[in-house]
Amino acid sequence: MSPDLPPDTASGEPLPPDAHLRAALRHAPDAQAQPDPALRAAIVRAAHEAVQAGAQPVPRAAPGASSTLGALWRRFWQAPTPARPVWAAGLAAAVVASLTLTLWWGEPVPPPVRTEPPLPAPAPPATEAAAPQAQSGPATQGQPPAAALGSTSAAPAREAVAPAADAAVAAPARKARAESPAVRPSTDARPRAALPATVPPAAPAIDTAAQSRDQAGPAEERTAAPPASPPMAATATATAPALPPAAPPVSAAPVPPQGAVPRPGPSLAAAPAPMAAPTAAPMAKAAEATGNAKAETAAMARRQSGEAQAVAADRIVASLPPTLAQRAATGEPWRTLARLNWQPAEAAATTADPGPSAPWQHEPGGMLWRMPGGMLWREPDGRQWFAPVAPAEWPALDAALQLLRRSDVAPAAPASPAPPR
Amino acid sequence: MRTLFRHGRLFTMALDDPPRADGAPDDARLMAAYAAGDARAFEVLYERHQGALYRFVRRVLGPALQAQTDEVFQDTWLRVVQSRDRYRAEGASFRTWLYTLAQNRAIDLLRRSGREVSPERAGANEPLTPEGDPWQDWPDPHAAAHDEHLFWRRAGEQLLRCLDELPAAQRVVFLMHHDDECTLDDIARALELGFETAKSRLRYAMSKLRLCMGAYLGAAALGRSS
Repeated sequence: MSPDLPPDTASGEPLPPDAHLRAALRHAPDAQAQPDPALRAAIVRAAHEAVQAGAQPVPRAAPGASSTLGALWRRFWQAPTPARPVWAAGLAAAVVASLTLTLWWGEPVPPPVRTEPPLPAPAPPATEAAAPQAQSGPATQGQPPAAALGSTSAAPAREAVAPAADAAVAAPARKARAESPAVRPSTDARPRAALPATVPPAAPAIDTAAQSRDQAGPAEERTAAPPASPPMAATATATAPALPPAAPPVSAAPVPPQGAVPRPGPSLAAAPAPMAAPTAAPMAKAAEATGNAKAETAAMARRQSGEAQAVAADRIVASLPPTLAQRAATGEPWRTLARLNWQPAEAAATTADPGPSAPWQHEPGGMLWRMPGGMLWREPDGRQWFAPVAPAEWPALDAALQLLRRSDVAPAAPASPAPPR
Repeated sequence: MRTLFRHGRLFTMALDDPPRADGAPDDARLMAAYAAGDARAFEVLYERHQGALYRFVRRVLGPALQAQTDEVFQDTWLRVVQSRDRYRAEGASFRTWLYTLAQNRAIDLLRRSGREVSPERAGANEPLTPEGDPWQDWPDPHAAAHDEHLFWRRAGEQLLRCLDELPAAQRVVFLMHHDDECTLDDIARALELGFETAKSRLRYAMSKLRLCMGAYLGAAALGRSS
């Protein structure tokens, strides 16, 4: 029997192994146990297959495409699929935003489109100067004949009536109008009124809506001759109330003196020719009675093209009181008044007696009364116009009157006007 | 070699495989070569460690799960194949890493079979109260006599029985320390244990085995001497 062996302390371990236990392990029956050769073969085969699978040639980039830019490009397009739409959407949004800002840079914000009930338009008058001007062709095709313009050329007239601010506002509208092919034929189809030789250049009366429509030949349109076919124009204006609400109307540019001078048409493009006030109503009635299919077609084209401003201008009648036409060029709230269907008191279907109510008076304009059935306007020379107002139109009209009262219109002394003639 | 200050003591441990006396490449180099695509390096590694690993797995599983030895052994090597790119020689020696993979797989199998008992439940960390004196009549383990050989053969058989009575955690620590010659620090790192925990498990295992071996081999030695 051998003596007991001390623990193996040669290894320096804090707990040295027991030599006897290690010897017993070494002599254990399973000391020579080995795995099955088949198991060995399976493991070695798996190891070889793993190496061969991992050594498959990985597709490499082309030698010439190893540049940094190419690597970045491949990395971008070979990114995980969920990342592509995010990058694409962000890039597209940035491009669209940049393009929008670039196109809109320096452009003014367009005024909001007002939605107001359409106004019936009176019949366009017919004058002797209408025929030659109506045959002069579309306004965009050239300048009107000098004979029709008289001593006033197109460019000076436009410069005289086009304020700088309005020109800036009208720029987007001109662009949109120039890009809309459906607008031009309808505009060109309208007759033009002749420019009276006595147009006072110092009395510009055109608003921003007129500027927006004034793209090619505003002077020609403002000086348009009366329609060659009055019934056609009358029908066109008669169909205007059915059109959608439009932008503020256009007032007449020049204000002729009272009397036999043709009154300015508020519509620039489709406005019928200026006419004498007393003859407007009969002409309108005649036009409504006869009708004209061609004018209806033109009106339909305008309606389909969505040219709201042009349609609104069409609704402006030529029978505005001269003083009111001047004021309408200054903007709201006069435009609201100008949209009314002003008719000479003789033709109005009401007895325009303002009664004892206090008028609104504007220097040097006429006097205005708010009456139960409409509004009454009296020129300084005593002529009166009456515009019927529907109940639904009163809120907007009252708001305009309130603006008039607050701004530059002072209530006049209570006075009862004379009964309309 | 690396000197570490751990648990208040200085240790000099071999993180890399020691240089081989036969001049063959060490395990770390072979593993690196296999990770680079040299399948023959894996064969060398397999031939070098297959016997010891097989015995280790067999002894950890015990006689009850001996039939599962091949499965655990194969899974261990397949883990090596799959993890060839993740092996880092500076973390631990290949041998320690290999035995760690094997013991993890064996412990999982023991848990599924219901035979694995946690060291706490088995009282592994309780103070050891020996019921008798350790056996002192050990023969010379280096003797070449026939009788001595038979003695150690029987001692080995008895040790396997005693190992089966140990908790798996203590069994693993003892086998890695005595059979695979891993240091306590390597064992602690491989099993993600504290050094003192590994040391405690080893101490309990050795004490229990000494008692177990003395109770059996004492009678055998007495019979042989008579």
